[in-house]
Amino acid sequence: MSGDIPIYGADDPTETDDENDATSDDAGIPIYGLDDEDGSDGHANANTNANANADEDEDDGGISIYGPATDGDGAADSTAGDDGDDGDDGDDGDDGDDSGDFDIPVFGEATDDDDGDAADREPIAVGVAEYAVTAEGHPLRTSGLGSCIGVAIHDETAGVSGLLHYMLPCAAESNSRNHADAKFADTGIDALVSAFADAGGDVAAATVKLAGGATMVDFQRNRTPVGGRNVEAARRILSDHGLSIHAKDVGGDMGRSLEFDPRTGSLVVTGADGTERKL
Amino acid sequence: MSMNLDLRKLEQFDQMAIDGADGASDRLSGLTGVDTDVGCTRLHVVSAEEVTREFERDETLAITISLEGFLEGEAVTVFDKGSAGELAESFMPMLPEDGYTPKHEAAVEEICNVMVSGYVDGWANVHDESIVMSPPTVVSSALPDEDGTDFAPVDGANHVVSQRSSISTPDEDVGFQMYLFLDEHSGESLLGTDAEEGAITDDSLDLLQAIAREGTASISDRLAATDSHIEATVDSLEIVPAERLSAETADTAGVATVVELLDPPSGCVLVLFDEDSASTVADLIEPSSIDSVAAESPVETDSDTDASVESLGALVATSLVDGVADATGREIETAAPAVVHDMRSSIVTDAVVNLDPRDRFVVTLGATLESAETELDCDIYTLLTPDELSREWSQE
Repeated sequence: MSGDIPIYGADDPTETDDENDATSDDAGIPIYGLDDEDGSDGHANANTNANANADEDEDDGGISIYGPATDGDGAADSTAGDDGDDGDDGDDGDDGDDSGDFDIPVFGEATDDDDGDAADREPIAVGVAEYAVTAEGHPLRTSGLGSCIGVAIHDETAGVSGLLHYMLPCAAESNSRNHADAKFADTGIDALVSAFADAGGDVAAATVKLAGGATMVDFQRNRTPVGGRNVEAARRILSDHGLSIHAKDVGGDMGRSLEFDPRTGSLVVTGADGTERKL
Repeated sequence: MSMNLDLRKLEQFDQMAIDGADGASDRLSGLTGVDTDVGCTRLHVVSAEEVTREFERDETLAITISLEGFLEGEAVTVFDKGSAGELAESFMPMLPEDGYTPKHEAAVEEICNVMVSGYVDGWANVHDESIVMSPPTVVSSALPDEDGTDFAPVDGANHVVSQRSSISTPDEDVGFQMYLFLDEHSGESLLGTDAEEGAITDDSLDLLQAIAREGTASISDRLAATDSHIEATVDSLEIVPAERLSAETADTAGVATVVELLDPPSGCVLVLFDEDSASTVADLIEPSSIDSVAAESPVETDSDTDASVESLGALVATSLVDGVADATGREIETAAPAVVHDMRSSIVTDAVVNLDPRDRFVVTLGATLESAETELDCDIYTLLTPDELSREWSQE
């Protein structure tokens, strides 16, 4: 068994050798190192593991044959196709430049566009406690808003748009620092505005629309409903950024889903009863 | 794993789970040429005994890979037969399409090998440590005439940390469960603490399991009296990042009964139906048949469906609250049930938002209702806060 055992982890000086030995019969133990370059290392190990299994299961030899491998990890794809996990835990206050943090998906670099057809832009799903920014006209969607708030920011001239879905008014109320920035109005709006500016959006020229903040159930423990506090927090924090709210659909007792269309700058708010309102 | 669960370490573990999922996505995409996204939505802490029983269910494929080094134990990936077949075919379209075959199973075994290697690489990178991985072994086969190798749980692993995940390819979205049976040392190092402050004690976990068992029995007893032929199962204890609880909940319309638990312990019970199931409930349940429950906390309802959903929701909630009260020896006050019609995802998120804004995680006892006569889509959540469990329950 030992001959088949891949070792994953710590720095490994034989990493290059593994790649070279990928087609050998596994005599060299593949070791996955901390400095793993996904593409090459991955291919080497795939072959090794596939061969190991093929040896054990000879009548299933074909099983080990994968389709033609691509050139590796496709970072742009994994970001664009990601509906949440990468973004949801965001960065803990360091603006996402730490490789240990999750990457907030910032769509808009030319690299994530391979068809060049704006009409076919894939919508970007923004999960709870996430945000996304696009400079390529991808529609931005979020759903499941009850007490939560969706904040859309848009610079028509620069063609940069963003959408945030936050849950609670204030990060300081939390027990832990290990929350996603986008979970709270204060850290979330800060992060959204920062990413929007980084993508080329002009904050001074931006329009802002927001929706959400419903009170679906009167929970006794909350003397002031979270939905109302969320709306107030948005007003205050956006104002701190010098941003005024151009349109809003807040309050009430019904959940909402949102879709922001960067081409028109409209935010379509769909209520749980199917009614639509365009902001 | 018999220990106090350190909530801070659990946050790190959650990060590790997501990093691992990223690693698995990269590895699968890179090695198979199929654009793949492995998502991680929930962490569970479940009884090792119950998990092991799950492996023995029919039409379940469970594949284990032994880990040594920084992490010692077993990583067991579990698929139902349908998911395993879909996964195999999405990666290997040349497979025969005449049902689930040994080649499908071998394909999934290989995919698991690649995927777990990605996880392990992610974990190892996070912790700057080495992990040795064995070849995969099928411990439960989904093939009719195969049993798989007997699975020997890791010594001392009373509770198992698991994560519910999914593999998305351009063609399929396949769910699976990955269980980490950690040996005592790895469990302590990754998740454990000697302190009770800031931790969910092993006793609390046992208490929650007891609530799950007693809650199931209590709901079933009460449902039996309604002659509705609905069965209840409280089947999962989950510790979930608050923002991700609704990640697997559809945006479709639903009807829920929400019962708030007034502290201590604070929380809520959420009984959530899709609209068709709510109508089915109205056919199956005559509210008067459970009047004894509804009378404890009557609410105004707009329709017969609401009345039935409210009555059934109140029955379930009352049973679960009784389970909590019995297990903790406390009297628990509840607010009157509220019936909510809305998007199901909004309802779940709203319950979480209003539960407690301070905690990173919520603790939920998940349950389902099933009817032998018709299909029911019903999710039940008993939501509690880990911080309160830490403060209040460690002294029980």
